[in-house]
Amino acid sequence: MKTKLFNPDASFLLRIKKYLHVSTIVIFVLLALFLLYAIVLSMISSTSYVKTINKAYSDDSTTLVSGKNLISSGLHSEELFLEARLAMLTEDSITLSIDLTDSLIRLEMKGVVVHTARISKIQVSRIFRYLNYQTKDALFGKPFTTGQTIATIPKTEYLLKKVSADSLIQPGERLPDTTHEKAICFLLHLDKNIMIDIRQSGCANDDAYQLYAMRLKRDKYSEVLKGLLKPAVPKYSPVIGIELAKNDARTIYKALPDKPRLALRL
Amino acid sequence: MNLHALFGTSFQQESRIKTIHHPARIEFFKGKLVILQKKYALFILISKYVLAVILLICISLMMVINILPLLQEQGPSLFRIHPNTVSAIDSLTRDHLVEMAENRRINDLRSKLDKQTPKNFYLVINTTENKFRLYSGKSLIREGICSTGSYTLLMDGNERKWKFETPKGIFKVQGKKTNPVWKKPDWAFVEEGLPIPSVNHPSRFEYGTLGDYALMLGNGYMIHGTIYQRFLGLPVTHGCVRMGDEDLELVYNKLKIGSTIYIY
Repeated sequence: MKTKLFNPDASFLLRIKKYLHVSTIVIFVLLALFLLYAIVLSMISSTSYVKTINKAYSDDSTTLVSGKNLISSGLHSEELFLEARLAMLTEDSITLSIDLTDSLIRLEMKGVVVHTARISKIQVSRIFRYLNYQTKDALFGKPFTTGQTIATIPKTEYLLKKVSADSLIQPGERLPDTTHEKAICFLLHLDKNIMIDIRQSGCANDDAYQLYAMRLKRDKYSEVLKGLLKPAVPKYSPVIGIELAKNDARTIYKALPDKPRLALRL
Repeated sequence: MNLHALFGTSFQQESRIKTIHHPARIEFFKGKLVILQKKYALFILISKYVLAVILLICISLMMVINILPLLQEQGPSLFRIHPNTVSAIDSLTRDHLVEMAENRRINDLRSKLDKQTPKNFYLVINTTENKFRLYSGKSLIREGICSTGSYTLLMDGNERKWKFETPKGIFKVQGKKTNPVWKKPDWAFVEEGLPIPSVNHPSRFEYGTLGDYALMLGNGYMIHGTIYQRFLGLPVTHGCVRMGDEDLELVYNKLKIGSTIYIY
């Protein structure tokens, strides 16, 4: 009798277990498919970026001058860089020129180099290798315009000094000057979706850097998610990572205007 | 045998020579058998060898001239036998020409950019690091510490605000003064908690605080000396640039009215 009473419950539990087992497998498979889809989409996004940008700047009707081949590519990139720097002469504010070939970053004012810093580490997205000649001509022969900037430190910090009506000085209320303690990292969003990530050397363990890196990752994954939900090819942003000495990173960030223009040489 | 019939008159003549001068060899010359004297024979023999040696040297030289560039991969060879030789030469020549043209263009662009740098003395001030550099053209004359704006926001009871910040940009020296006198603006009194005097009140004029020299940058901003030398290298000023006595003297002497000052 006991077994008869117990058996239906056991079978029920077994069925539940089986059901749960099946549903777990289904969920796992679905998740795996979703992940695969996300990976494929993010891979497609990079190739799609190259295709789009190459198509935008390549004119099939014109043939490339054969002289502009690999022999003179180094010279040609220098030529483009100089052209871009010359184009920035019209700018009234401070401009930035990044020379990845010579590992130098310079602040310039009307073509006069006012600050030069050596780049200690460079990381460039592989995507730049696949840009064709005409695209490189179009991209690097002119200065880039910067849009949004993300940074671990503010551009300016003021010491607030309030004086009351009876002209007695009240103690100054200083906004915490954290620029000397925090890691200096900033990201410049350029046109054509290119991003320049400038960091001070050896900041991996810094809290400010961790937050900054998390924000960058969050932005990246949110773009992929947006693409998945639409569904559309997610926006791809090639990144150029640069590491500098802390003083140089701070000087450059503080000196640059809100939307600086910059010349880039790969 | 009739030798005359066989060799003609020349034989007779040469045979005569033979008997007299001990001929060295017999050779055919213009279809006739000629017996040469020993000295002539020697001359011809030597000249043949000399010619051969000259030819050999020429060939060797040509080979060396054409092989060396090939080894160095710098130029085309005249002796290279290849179906695409002509096009390869063309391509190399074209590449070389393009490279030359690009080099020329780069030099032009560089010189255009270099022209932007003042040829005479100019000053560069880094407000973040509170440092200065004095240049003459591209050569650095002196670098050192200075003091720039403190980034203080001063507010009085009437909600008036002053930002003590050194302006960034390109400036020209608008005036130079020795033993400058500081005419204290309103904020100097507000900051000290003193009542603001009239515009030309004697309490507004302070002697010696600005050091021995001052360079005017416009809008009341100056490069001057300081009695607070210990604060050099720190952001403590109300927007002006303070320098040490020796640095200031050099900067004052080198910069003329109209000289450029870059502040970033």
